[in-house]
Amino acid sequence: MTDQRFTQITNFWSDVFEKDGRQFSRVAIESTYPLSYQLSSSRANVKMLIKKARANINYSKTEVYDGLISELTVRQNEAENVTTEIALDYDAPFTVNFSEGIPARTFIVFDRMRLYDIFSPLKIVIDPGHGGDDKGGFGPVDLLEKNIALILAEQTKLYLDKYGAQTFLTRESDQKIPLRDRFNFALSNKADLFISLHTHYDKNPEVKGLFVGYNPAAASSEKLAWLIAVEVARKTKRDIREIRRDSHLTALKKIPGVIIEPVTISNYVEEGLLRNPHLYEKVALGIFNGIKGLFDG
Amino acid sequence: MVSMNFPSIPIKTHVVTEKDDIVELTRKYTEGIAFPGDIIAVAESVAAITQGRAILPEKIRPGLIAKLISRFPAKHGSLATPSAMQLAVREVGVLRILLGCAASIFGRLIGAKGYFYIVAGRELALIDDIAGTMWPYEKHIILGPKEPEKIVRSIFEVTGVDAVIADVNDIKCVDILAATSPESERIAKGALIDNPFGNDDQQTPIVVIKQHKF
Ligand SMILES: [Zn+2]
Repeated sequence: MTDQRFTQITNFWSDVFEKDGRQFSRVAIESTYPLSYQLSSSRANVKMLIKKARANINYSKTEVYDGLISELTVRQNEAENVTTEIALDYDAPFTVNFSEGIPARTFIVFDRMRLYDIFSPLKIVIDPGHGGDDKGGFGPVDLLEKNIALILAEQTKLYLDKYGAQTFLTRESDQKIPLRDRFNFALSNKADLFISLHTHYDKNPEVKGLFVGYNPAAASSEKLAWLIAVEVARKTKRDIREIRRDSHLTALKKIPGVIIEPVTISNYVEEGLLRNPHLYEKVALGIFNGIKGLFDG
Repeated sequence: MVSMNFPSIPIKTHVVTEKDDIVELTRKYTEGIAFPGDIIAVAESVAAITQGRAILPEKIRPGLIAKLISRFPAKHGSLATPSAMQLAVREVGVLRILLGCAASIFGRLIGAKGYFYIVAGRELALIDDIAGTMWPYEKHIILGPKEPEKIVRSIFEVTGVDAVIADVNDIKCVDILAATSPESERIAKGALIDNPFGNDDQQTPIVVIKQHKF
C-alpha cells in the first residue's frame, strides 16, 4: 500500500512483567502499522502524540492502579492524530521499544524500583482467618471462608514478596490457630504490620460489600484501613460497607493492624466473584497499594 | 496443510451494554482494520448483552425443581445458583433438565464429563452464572445469544467481511456458534485457540483474524 496510510490504534493495555528478577510496568499500544509519534513527559505523566492515526476506541479512561501507573487515556484529535496519556503515581524512568507484527506493538516500559525501596524494609505478618474445624462463614453455593482466607493471604504474600518485603503467614495449611497465638506471633516477630484476611458473613443474603477493621491502639492503623479499603474497592468495584475500629486488634499493641473482608461470602454475587481467580489478584494488589500509600513519602 | 495460525487483532471497545447494536458496534470498531477476505470474530457474551440477554437474578423466581437441581452434587459447569438453573429450565424445559441430570449421573459412573449439556442442551453451556462476567455485568446471569446466524449475516452485509460468533475460554476450547461460511468457521477455530478476546477486564470483545496483510 501507499505511504499515505493511516495507522489504526486497535488496543491499549498495561501489565506488570518480570525480567532478570525485577518487576516492570508496561503499557502497550497496538496498531495496524508502526507508530509515528512525539513523546513528551512531565511530572508523573507521559504523553504520546501519534501522527496520522485513528482510534476507533474513543473512550475516556482505563484504570490501571498497579502501584505505579494509575490511568491510561486515548483521545482522537480533530487533526488526524491520536493522543495517548499515561498518568503515574510518581515519576519513574522509562524506555520505549517496538515489536513488529500484526498488530504492531509499541511498548513504554517503566522502572518499578521505588516500590522495592518502600517494601524491602517491611516485616509483615499476614493472617488467613479461621482454619481447621473453625470454618468461618460459608457461601450459599459451596465456598468456605477459611479456604478463601488462605488463598487471599497467599496471593497478598506473593505481591509483597516480589518487592522484598519480609512476610510471614500465621498459617499455611488448613489448621485451627487461636486468635491470641496469631497476635503473639506478630508481637514476637516485631512486625511492622499485621494484615488479617477474612470474608464477611451475614444471615441476610442481601448484605454485601467490603469491610475493614483496624487496631485503635496503633497510630497509623486507621489511615491504613482507609487506604486499603479505597484501593481494594477501586480494584474489585465492590462497595465499601464499613470501616471501623476492632477492639480485638488492640492485642497487637502498637503494631498497626487491619482485618480485611473484601467481600461478603453469604451474598450470591460476591460468592460468585470468589470463583474468579482475578478477584484474588485484585484484592492483593489493592492491599499492596494501600500499604504503599502508608509508607510512601 | 496450510497453517491455521493467522494473526488476530483484538479490538478494544467501550463497555458494551444493551443500548448497543451488535452489528453497528462491529462495523464501527472494525472499520479500517477488517477487509474482505479477513474474518471478524465477536464474543458470544457481548452479542448476548446487546440483545438484552443479561438478566438480573432478582427478576427470576426459582421454582422448586431449579432449587433442588442447583444443589445437585454433579456440578453443571456454571449453573451453580438456583436463578441460573431456573433460566436453564426456562430455555429448554424441565424434562430436558431432568434428563440431563440423569445423563450426568450416568456419565460420572463411567468417568465421562459433559453429559449434562449434551443431553439437556448445548445452549445451556453458554449461560454465564452470576459473577461469570465482569463489571458491570457481574450481578447478571448471561444467556447465550439468540439467532447468532442472523447476526453474522448482518455483519457480512454491512461490512463485506466474513464473521463468526465464538465462545472461547482459557482452557483452549473454541466453540463457533455461527459463521458466514464453513471456511471461516474452520479458520476461526484455529486462530482463536489462544483466546485473543482475553479476559473481560481487557474489554476486547471483537477480534479481527487477518488473512491478508494491510
Ligand atoms: Zn472471619
